[in-house]
Amino acid sequence: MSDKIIGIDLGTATTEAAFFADGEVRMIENPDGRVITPSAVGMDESGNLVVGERARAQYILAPERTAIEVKRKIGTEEKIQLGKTGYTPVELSSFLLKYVKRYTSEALGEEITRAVISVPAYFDDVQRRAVIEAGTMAGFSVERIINEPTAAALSYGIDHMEEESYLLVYDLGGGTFDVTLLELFEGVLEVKASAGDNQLGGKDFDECLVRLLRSRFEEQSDISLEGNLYAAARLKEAAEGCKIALSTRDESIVRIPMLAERNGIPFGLEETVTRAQFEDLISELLERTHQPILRALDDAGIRKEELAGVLLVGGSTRIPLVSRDIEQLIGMAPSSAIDPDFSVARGAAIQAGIISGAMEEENELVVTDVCPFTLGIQVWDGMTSDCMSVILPRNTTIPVTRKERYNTSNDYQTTAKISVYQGDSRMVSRNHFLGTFDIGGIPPRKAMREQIDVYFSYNANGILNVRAQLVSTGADAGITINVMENAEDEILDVSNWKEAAYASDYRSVIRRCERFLDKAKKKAGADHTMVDELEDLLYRLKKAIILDNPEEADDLEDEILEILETEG
Amino acid sequence: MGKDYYKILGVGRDAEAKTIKRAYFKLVRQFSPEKDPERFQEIREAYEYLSNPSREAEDSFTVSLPNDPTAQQLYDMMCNCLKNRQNQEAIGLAERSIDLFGESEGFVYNLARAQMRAGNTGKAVKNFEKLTQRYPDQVQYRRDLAIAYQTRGYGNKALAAFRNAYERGVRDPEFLNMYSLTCNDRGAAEEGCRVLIEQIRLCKNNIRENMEYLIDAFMGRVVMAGEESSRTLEADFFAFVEDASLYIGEYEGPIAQIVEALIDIRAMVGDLDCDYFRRLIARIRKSLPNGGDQKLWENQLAAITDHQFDSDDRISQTVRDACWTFSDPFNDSTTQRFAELDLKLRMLEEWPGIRAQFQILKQDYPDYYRYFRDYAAELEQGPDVDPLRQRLLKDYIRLARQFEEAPYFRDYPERLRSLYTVSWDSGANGAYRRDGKKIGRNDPCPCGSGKKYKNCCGRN
Repeated sequence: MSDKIIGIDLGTATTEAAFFADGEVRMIENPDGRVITPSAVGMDESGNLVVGERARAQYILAPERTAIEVKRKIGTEEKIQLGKTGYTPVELSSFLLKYVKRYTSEALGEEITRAVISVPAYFDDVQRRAVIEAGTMAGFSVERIINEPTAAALSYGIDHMEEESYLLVYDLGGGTFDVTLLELFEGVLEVKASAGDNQLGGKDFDECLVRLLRSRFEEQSDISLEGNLYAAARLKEAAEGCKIALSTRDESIVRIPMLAERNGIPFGLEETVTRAQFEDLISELLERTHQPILRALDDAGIRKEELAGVLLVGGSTRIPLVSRDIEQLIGMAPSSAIDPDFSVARGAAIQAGIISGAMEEENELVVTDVCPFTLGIQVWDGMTSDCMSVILPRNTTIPVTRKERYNTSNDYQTTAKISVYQGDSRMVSRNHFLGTFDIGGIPPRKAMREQIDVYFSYNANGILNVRAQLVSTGADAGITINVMENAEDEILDVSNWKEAAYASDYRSVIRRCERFLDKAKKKAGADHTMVDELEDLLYRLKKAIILDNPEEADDLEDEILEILETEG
Repeated sequence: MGKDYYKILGVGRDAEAKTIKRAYFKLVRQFSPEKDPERFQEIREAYEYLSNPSREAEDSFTVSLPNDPTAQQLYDMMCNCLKNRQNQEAIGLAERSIDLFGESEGFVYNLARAQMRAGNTGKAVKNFEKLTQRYPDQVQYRRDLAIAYQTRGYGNKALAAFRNAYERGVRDPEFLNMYSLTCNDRGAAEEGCRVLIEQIRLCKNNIRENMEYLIDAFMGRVVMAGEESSRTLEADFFAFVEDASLYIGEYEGPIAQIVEALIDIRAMVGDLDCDYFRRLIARIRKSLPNGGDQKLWENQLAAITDHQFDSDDRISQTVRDACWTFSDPFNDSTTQRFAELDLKLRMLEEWPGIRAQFQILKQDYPDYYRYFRDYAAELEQGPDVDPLRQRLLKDYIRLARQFEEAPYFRDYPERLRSLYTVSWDSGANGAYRRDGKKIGRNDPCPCGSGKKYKNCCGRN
C-alpha cells in the first residue's frame, strides 16, 4: 500500500486521473493507453460489468444496460437500470472509481488507496457526501473533495506563482456550469466567489440537437420515435458528434442509416446542420450563464475590467459561441492558458501533492476556498415561521465556524427544532432543506429569556456540521450530528392525544390536517418542506394537548389552519 | 471579548488596507487551511474584520462620561455586551454604573439601547426622553426616541418625533422604514409615501446592502398607494427590478406579492395595463434561476388574463358566466351539467352574434376557448341551430326536475311553451314528431312551479 495520493477528475462525460511527482504533473494512462476514460458503466451480454471505453461503445447497441452521465443523478436515490438490476448513482460511480483505482495502481506500480476527487463547485452537501461515499466504496480514502474551478485555477496558478491578478474560471462541463472568481496574490490562491448552475452543460446542448434531428425525422418519415430507446441512443451519439464537428466546421451532415422502421421498411436520417442553426438553438441556454457570472463578480466585489484573464475549463468551452459570448459579456477574450480537458485532474493532483507532502513548501501554492451557498436555519420572526436566518452567507472562506444566537420563542418551551436550509431566499420554503434535529433540556422560562447558540462548521471538503449550545448552562443542548441524519425518535409519544382533556377542541383541525397530509404525501412532486412543517406543527399540537397547554395549542391550531387555507 | 485583530495579523492600528492585505496573505502561506486550520480560521477572522470598510462604528458620535478609568472600562464592557446581544448583562452594567457615577450620558444611552433590545420599551422611552431633553442638539437621541415611541405604541408622539428628527436630517434606512410604518398607522398615507420615495432614492446607492429596505419600501408604497399615482409607482418598480436584477432571486416571494398587489389595485379601478404587467413579470423572471417558481408566476399571468377578461367589453355576460362555470366547476356533477346546459342554451339565444365572441376567445383567451371548442364546432355544423336546441332542452328538462328552478325558462319562458306546441300541418311538413317527452296534464309542471301542468304552463 502506498501513501501516494492521486488526483481524479470525475466528470459527467469523461474521467481522468493524474499524479504529482518530481515537481511536475503526469496524466495517468488507462489500459487502452488513453488518459481519458469515458464515464460509462454497463453490463455486457454475459452479465459482467464493463467500465469506460467498452461501456461507452456498447451504448448504442444496448442502451438499456448501459449508464452514462451518472454524475447528473448523484445525490439522488434514483436507481438506474443495467439490464435487470438497478444501481444507485453512488454504486455506479464507485464502479468507475474502482476501475480508476486499478489502472492507476498498475501504472504507478503500487496499490493506490488515497485520492483527491473533484466535484463541481456548485455541488451541494448531499452530492458531495455521495461522491465521498462512492470513493470509499471503491476502496479509496478520499483525502479531499476539491472544487473543479479551484482545481483548474490551481493548475494555472502553479505556473504563475509570481503573478498578482484576478482570475475568472468559466467551467462548462458535460452536466454543470461553474464560475469562480479568484485572486492570485503572494503565492496564495484565494477563491473569492463561486456561482453556477447544476443543470446546465454540454449534454443540454446535445439535447437541443437531438430534438431538432428527431422532429425533422418524424416529419419526413411520419414515424414517431417515442419510447424508442435505440433510436434515442443513436440520436444522442450523432448529436454529440455533430456538436463537436460544428466547433471546427460551418456545417455538419448527420447520417444515421437505419433509425426506425415502418411496416418493415427502414428509414434513415440524413440532415445537414449548420453552425448558425446550432448557435440559435443553444443561445438561450448560454444566456443562463450570465446571471451566475454577474452575481459572482458582484459578490467578489470585482469589476469585470479588473480581471486579468478568463480561464476556460470543460469540453463544452470549445464551442466557438461560448468564447464570443464571454467576450461580449465580460469584455475580454478567454485565455487558452490551461487545457480545458485536463486542468481539473492536474489541479486535483497538485492538491494531492500538497496534502501528501510531495510538493516542496516553497513551490507550494496555498489555496483557500469558499462555500458557494448561503446556509441558515428556520426561525420564527414574530409573524411567520417561513423565515430564514442566515448563519453562513455564501462565499464565506472555509474552513469556518460561525455562530448565531437565538432566543426561545414560546413561554416555557423545553425543546427546539433546528431545521437547516441552504439557499438565498428570505423564506425557507423557497430554499433547499438539508436536515433537522431537535434539542432538548432547555430550562422552562418565559419566551425570549433562554438563548441558544447554533454553530455552523464548514470543513475544507464543503461538508456542514451543526451544533447547538444552551447559553445559560453552557451545556451542549443536543445532538451534534452531521446534517443529513434526521432526528429519528420524537421526544414524546403523542399517539394517545385523544384521551387528553382538551382533545375535543382540536379534533376537527387535527383530522383535517391528517387527511390533508395523507393526500399531499401521495401526490407526485409534493412540497415536502410544507409537509414537514405541517407534520411538525401537528406533532406539537398533539403534544400541547397532552401537556394541557391550551394557549400553545390554540397558536398551533391557527398556524395549521393558515397553511391548510392557503394550500387546501 | 474583543480579540486583538491587529495583533493577530501583526499590523499596527493605523495600518492601511494594502498592509493588512499583505500581512494576511503572508500569514496564510505559513498557516494554510491545510496545515493549521485552527490558526487559519483565526487569521481569516481578523482579516475579514479589519478589511471590512463598514465596520460597525458603535459610537459615531462621542458621549460624555465621567473622567474615571473605571467608568471608561464599564462603558466598554457595556458596548461589548450590546454587540454580543447580551442585553440583560448590558442593562445590569448600565444600572450599576449609574448607581456608582450618576446619570452620565454614555451610561444612560447604553441603558436605553439595551432596554429597547430586551423589550423594556417603556423604560427605554423614558430614558430617551431624558436624553433628548438634556442634549437637544444630539440628533441621534431624537431618532432613537421616535423609534422607541413607535415600538411602544405611542403613535401620535412617534409621528411628531419622526417629523422632528427628519427635519434635522436623519435619513438612515431603519429610521425611514419605521417612520413610514408610523405614517401608515396614523393614516398619514401621503406623508408615508413621500418618506418611502426618499428611502428608495437613498437606498439605490447600495442596492446590495439595502435590498430588504427597498422591498419593504415598495410594499409600503403599494399599501399606501391610495392617493399616489400608481403609474409612478409602477414605473419606479420596473426600474427597481432592472437595477436589482442580481438580487431578486432572494426575494422572489415578496416581489411576487408586490406584483400581485399592484395588479389588484389596478384591477379594482378597472384600469389594468396588462401589457405593462406582462413585461414586468417577464423582466423579473429573466433574473430568476430557471425563470423562477413556475406555478407562482403562471398564476400571476393567469390572474392578469382573468382581469383583462373581466373588463373586456367585447364579451357578453353570458359568455363570461359560461367561462366561469366551465373553469370552476361545481363539486356535484349533476349541478355542473345543469349549469352548463343552462348556459349553452342562453348562448344559443345569442347566436349567431356569439360567433364573433368565440373568435375573440380563440385569439385572446385560448385557455378559456378550449372549453368552447367542441360547442363552437357543433354550432357551425348547420345553419339551423334548432335541432341542437331541442337536444339541449331535452336534457335540461330532465335535470330540471331535480332543482328548484330552471333559470333559463325564467328568462325565456316562450321556449318552454314552444316545446309543446304541436304543429298540425302534418300534411304540409310531414308527420309531426314530438321532440320532448309528452308531459302528462296532471304531472308537475316542468318549469318548476310545483303546480300541475294543466294549471300552469299548459294553460293555453
